[in-house]
Amino acid sequence: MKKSDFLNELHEFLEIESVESFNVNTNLINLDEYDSLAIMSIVAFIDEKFSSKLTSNQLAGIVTIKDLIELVGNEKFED
Amino acid sequence: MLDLIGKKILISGASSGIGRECAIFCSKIGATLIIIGRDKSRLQNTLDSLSGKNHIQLLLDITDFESLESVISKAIENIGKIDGFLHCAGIESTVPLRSMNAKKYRELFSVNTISALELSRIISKKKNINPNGASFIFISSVMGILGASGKVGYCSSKSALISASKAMAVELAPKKIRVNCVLPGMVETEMTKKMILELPTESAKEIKTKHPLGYGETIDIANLCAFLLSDLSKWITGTELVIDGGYSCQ
Ligand SMILES: NC(=O)c1ccc[n+]([C@@H]2O[C@H](COP(=O)([O-])OP(=O)(O)OC[C@H]3O[C@@H](n4cnc5c(N)ncnc54)[C@H](OP(=O)(O)O)[C@@H]3O)[C@@H](O)[C@H]2O)c1
Repeated sequence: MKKSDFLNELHEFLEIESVESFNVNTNLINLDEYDSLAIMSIVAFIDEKFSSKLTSNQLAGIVTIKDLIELVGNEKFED
Repeated sequence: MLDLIGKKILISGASSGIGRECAIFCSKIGATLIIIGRDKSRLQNTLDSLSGKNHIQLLLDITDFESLESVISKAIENIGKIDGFLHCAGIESTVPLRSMNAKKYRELFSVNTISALELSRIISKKKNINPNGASFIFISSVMGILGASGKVGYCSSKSALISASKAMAVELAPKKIRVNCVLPGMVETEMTKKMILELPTESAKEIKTKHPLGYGETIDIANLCAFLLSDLSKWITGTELVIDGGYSCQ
């Protein structure tokens, strides 16, 4: 998957409106929209797109979208 | 005295968790079983743990609706007419509404709900059911009468079982078939271990503290199911029995 597509889909999916720019360096945990429901949504989103199940412990360690991409596996993305 | 001596009982979801414990316990108190699951080695493991003889195991995807009837009827021909059906097979899902879609609803309803109704249809046929009466139990969930974030699909699939059991209780009463739902709170099984790992840590902690008596054990559910399958419960039909360590009374 292209990183830009991933970002667009995630942006729409999480219904992010609180920041102007949404990029790999965006700090997820500071977003107004990043609550427990958003975490469940990310688990479902990653499962659907990459057939991989993240645990809440793994997600607790991420700060930026770059971290999320690394967690999923950089090799699964194109620039 | 509680016993299931001489009773033939079909149990779905017997390869794991609640279904496995129910199978082991029912066999211990005298029942002969048809046990159903998809995972060969885990189902064999249940079979090896059963007391008594002549049990049948069926490796079967219960959403394979085309072949369900022929496979089930054949097993019943071998074992004899059925006195009890316990539907424990089910899948869990914690997915927010915005991430749900028709495919996910279909999957949940196929395993949790439609399979229970289809199996009931097949088992309640005259040629398959004990003419002196029988007991059907669907394992629903407290989530069938309550709500929680991320549970729109799961709750609705479990709630549908409750209303279906009431309609079925009325319709099948002339055949002396009783139909009830069991609604467990959180019981430690493969399913819930997986679910807890996926939940945000605070949500998982919150669920635990909401159970005044702590999490349940599979044997707690097996005890209730054995009672509902036995003649001790012969006047109980069309109802839902909550068994949740106090989760829903607050
Ligand atoms: N544990 C709880 O806290 C809890 C609370 C309330 C309600 N419940 C309900 O209780 C039931 C049992 O839960 P559990 O915790 O014991 O779950 P579990 O350990 O995950 O066992 C689920 C069982 O369902 C079977 N199954 C799933 N899909 C199937 C399919 N398509 N065809 C045939 N079999 C299928 C599995 O068989 P294979 O693995 O062989 O495929 C397994 O035997 C479920 O309906 C669940 O919703 C559980």
